[in-house]
Amino acid sequence: MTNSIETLKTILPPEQVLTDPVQLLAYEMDAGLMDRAMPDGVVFPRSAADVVKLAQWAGRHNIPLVARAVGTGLAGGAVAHTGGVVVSFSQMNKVLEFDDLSRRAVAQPTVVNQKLGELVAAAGLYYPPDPASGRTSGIGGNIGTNAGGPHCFKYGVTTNYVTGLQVVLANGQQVQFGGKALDAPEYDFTGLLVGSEGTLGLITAATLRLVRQPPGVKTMMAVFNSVEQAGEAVSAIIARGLVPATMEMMDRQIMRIIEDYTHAGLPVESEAALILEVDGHPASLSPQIEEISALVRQHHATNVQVAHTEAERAAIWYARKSAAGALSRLAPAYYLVDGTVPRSLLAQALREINDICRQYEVHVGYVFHAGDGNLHPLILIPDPTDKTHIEHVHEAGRKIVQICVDKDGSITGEHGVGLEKRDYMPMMYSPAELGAMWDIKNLFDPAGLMNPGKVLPLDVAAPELPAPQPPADSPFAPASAAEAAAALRHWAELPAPPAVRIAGGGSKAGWLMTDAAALLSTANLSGIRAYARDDFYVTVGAGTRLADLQAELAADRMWAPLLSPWPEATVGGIVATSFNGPLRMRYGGLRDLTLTATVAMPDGRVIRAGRPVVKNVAGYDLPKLFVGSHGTLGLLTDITLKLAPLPRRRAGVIAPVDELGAGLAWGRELLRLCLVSSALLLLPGEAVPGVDAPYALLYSAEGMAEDVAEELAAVSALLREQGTSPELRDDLSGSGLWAAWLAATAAEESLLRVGIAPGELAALARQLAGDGSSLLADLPNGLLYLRPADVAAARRTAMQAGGYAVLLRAPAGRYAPAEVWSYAPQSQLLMRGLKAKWDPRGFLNTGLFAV
Amino acid sequence: MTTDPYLTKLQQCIHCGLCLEACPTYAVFGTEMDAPRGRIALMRAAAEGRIAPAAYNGAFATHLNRCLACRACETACPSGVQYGSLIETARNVIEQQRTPGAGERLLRWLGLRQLMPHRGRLRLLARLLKLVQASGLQGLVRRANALPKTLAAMDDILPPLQIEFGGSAPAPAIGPQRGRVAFFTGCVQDAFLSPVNAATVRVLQRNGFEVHFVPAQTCCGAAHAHSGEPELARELARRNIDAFLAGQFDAVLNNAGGCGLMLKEYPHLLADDPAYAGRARQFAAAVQDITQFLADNLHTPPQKSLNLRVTYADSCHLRHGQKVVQPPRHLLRQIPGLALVELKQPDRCCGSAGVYNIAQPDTAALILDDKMADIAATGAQVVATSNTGCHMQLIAGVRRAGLNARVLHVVQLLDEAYDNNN
Repeated sequence: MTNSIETLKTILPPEQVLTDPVQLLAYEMDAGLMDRAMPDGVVFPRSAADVVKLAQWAGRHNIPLVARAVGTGLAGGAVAHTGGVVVSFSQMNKVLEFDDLSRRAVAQPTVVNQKLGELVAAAGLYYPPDPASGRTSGIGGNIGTNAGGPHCFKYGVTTNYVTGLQVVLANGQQVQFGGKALDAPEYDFTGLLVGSEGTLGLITAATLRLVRQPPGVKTMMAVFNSVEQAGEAVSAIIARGLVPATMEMMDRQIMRIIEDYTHAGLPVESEAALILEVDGHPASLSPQIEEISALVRQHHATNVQVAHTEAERAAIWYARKSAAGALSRLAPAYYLVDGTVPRSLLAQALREINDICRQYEVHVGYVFHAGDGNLHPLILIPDPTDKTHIEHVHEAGRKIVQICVDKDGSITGEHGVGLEKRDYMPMMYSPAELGAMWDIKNLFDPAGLMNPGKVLPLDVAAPELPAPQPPADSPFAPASAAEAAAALRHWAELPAPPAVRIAGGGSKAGWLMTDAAALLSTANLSGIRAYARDDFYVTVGAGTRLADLQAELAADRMWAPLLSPWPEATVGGIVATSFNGPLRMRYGGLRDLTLTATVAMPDGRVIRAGRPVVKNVAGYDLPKLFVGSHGTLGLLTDITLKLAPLPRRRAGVIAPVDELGAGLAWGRELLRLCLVSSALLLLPGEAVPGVDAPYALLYSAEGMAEDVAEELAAVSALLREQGTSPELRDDLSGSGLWAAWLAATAAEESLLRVGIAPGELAALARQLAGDGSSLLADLPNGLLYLRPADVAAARRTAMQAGGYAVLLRAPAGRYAPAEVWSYAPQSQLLMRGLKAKWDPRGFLNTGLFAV
Repeated sequence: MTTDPYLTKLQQCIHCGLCLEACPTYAVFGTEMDAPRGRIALMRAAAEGRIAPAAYNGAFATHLNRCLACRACETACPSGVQYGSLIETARNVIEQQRTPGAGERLLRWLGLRQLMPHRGRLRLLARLLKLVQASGLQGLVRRANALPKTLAAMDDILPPLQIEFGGSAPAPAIGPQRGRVAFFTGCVQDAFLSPVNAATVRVLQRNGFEVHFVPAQTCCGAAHAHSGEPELARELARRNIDAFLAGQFDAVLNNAGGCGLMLKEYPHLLADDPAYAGRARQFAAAVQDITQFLADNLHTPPQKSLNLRVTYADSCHLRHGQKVVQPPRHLLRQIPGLALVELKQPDRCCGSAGVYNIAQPDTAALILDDKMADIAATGAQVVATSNTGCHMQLIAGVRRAGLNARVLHVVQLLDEAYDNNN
């Protein structure tokens, strides 16, 4: 291999390649202490073009490529354990684009997380994922491991903020997945690659979504006599519908260790402490803190301390973030476990883990993210050369992971699988699930050169398949995934499979699925399967109507933050079509809300994609592939959705608009205010009761009453400055107006949805409205809804502006399925490749999506 | 490669990488071998015998010698790794494996043995060089670009010389006497930046201190310790300890962050010398940087208004080594009219780093360019500093970058604000 490596110096400038064995010693490890191996070389690409050359070269010489951003990973993901070349992206560290209006940045792989945060903060924006390594770790590595951090309970993880990726594939092809427009009609390979640890391709740039920097933040510490009590306090806070930005817990042992080092004044005599942080508009901070203080006291907090100055706040965080460093003073090595359990099971998991550690005589301390169930037992290794002890540590680690898996959690919440946990994967996933992941790996990287040997276990048993079973009726409505899988296998094995179409609520039946030879209905896959209020999730049958689900949840003051204009819409249909409404900017899209999906695949395999926890980077993020793939990859039978407490207050400000251009301009100004906003729409005046103007601008907000009041006051003030007369109304919601306008589409009309980068929406809206057609603009999400007389012309205009256009409704028989999309993503070949792997006979929903 | 305590210290690094962003050479090269974590990996490999001693002189030496030893990584490190001590040990081992060329041997002999420990000779050299500068010869030589690289690097950092040498008699307190202090003058500082020392003495007098010069004092030995001459460094340390412990002083003050750190590290340097270990601790306990001392003892605040925009460039050894961060800033804020503008990266090394700018002029220049860009962005009229090496490097940097700014020690600004010169 050495000779081949030398040829790399003819492909790229020699100063970009290291082969001196002494220099390579510095690239044996990342920050995971358990694995190390010498690479054969290190290469430093300076551009995507360099990476293309590199991938082509590696393919020719059959040399593995191991991607490395800054090397702060904890699972050995950047260790070249089968040799090959480490691809250090340290020279690709620029922010390529920053658009504060669109709330978007495009970053190269080694832009440092914290530096990006500082850059966008200067424009009043916020990039929430903040792993403990954020001071030094790169965005590329954060994406590779879907990094989390302490703010995930409120803000989610890295994948929720990545909307597009520029990737160099193993074959040397450079492709763009997703991009500036949200939810483009393509398989969500962006979501798939986040957390794939460099095994599917080399990321050269990422398009990131930003949110408004909360204008205020307040931090407090609450002290308890037991970890269980602290856990109950967290539950109580959540049950009240409060959403703190962080809820971090430390136990007595770790506090003592940290205190010895930092002298930060931690309550070392107590059994547990919670660090709670709330954010929002300044007026809401004190009420939130007061309410939380009262609650934790009711739940036996022995002391509550609120940070009154920035220095006091910094001291609390300094202590928390010093945990790992403080530990390293006690022992030369440690083993850091990274498991996730549904949050409500934390205290129980902790008790079981303590038993294990006692049994194996290992010392352990805890820091964990109490809001999202991600726990980090730190096992000390006093003597790294003591083989017996190391074995104990590993055994204990394995048992701890098993505890997490048994609670339907994950073997890794935010550190990644890497080498370290690769062999734990079968504890969590069935052969069918691992097989599906291998299918993806083989599609993207057939020669196995992209970070080989990581993440996926090498030997996977053949999946169990159901016996083929001809469907009893037509349409066939299975009552379980197994029944569906048996029928699918039957069809797949027919000499000429019929064109099978999936029917949910039937909202597309009238106009799109006219070619169906057989219907597969979700009508019998209905109802709530599991509801975990404390853990903010519900699992429902795919055929459950959204309206029915919301009614059930509302009785418990909860809801799933998604909507549909059509009363017959099912959860399965909404997820399969990734149909996002105005709430997307506030709560994330369906790709962010769908935690798990049980899927009957066209070849008869049944998989459960994902787990009902927010933090899970074990293997590929399969749910992302099924959200928005329109049933072309399988039938969704059960879906787990992330829930939210019903907001305490909802209200809106409406302003009449005489002229489209002025409305769009005002809307652009209002974009800067969106913090607790639930919609910012420009819509035809006739769609709003009480408005007598050609257009109306609507800004609705929801959440803490004080936040809503403060934000809407700012909105009203800004609109008055523009010379219009805003009116505050409690009866208007953006969601409601949006749904009503879409639902009012007449049978003979076509309803088109156009997506574009939010910053470019105004210009396109003016163009599209030129022919006088009625139009609704969802400004923050970059979506336009219109009913054009000439669909083809409107689509051309949208595509020329860099957007996409999708038909949501059309008169029966007017358009062929292909005309619904008329969109060819750069990933189309890969999309077809995946479709061919999972539906080789090509009979399930084929043609109903841009595949 | 060497003893067990060294290996234990190396193992304290958990490879987390939090040091990378703090490291000036990582910012320039972007390679692990040029970052603290990677250098520790190399040191560890050598200690474990994975790099043969015969090979020390290759990439191992290149990357370890490229380190500025600014110790910014120590501030960033959550695990308390004693990086400064590790790199010094490793470099000494590399030095032992190396046979320097005749030219280098001559320069080292001249600099480390014949000049630095001898105040009189250095002052004489300063007078000679001032003549050279006055004659315009320096300009000619610079334009001709004829000097060998090392000498050219030395010439680059030679400041325009002003001679303001102090005598050896104690300087009396002005007003009621509040104490008596000993002043460690430094070697290069005394000869080439004598106005800084003169200003230091005047400011101390103004605040009620009698200042003693302790004629037997000598160079701190930092340059020797950092260039593989630990024995010579110990010898100088013993001489200083003997000199300063012979008198009774409230404090031993110095105005150079690098020298001060060395003085404070005498207990570490002499840990294995039973005759001096205890005395070294006693001495080190009395050592203080002038800015720290004045911040606590500014009995007479300055009155004259200096309407200046000033930025402060931390001395690495003062900030990361001695952990003195706020005192110089506090003093600057005491000057009426002065506006202190912070740099974007005030804690980032300027590239001086002891003799780094002479040993590694190319890398030092890259690092200095970044520093100058940061300084230029502040629009400062004065760059305040607190260490000899930084002072000279920043003067060279201002000249190279064509900035219209003066470089002054913090005490020089105080001195101006006391209106001492008039």
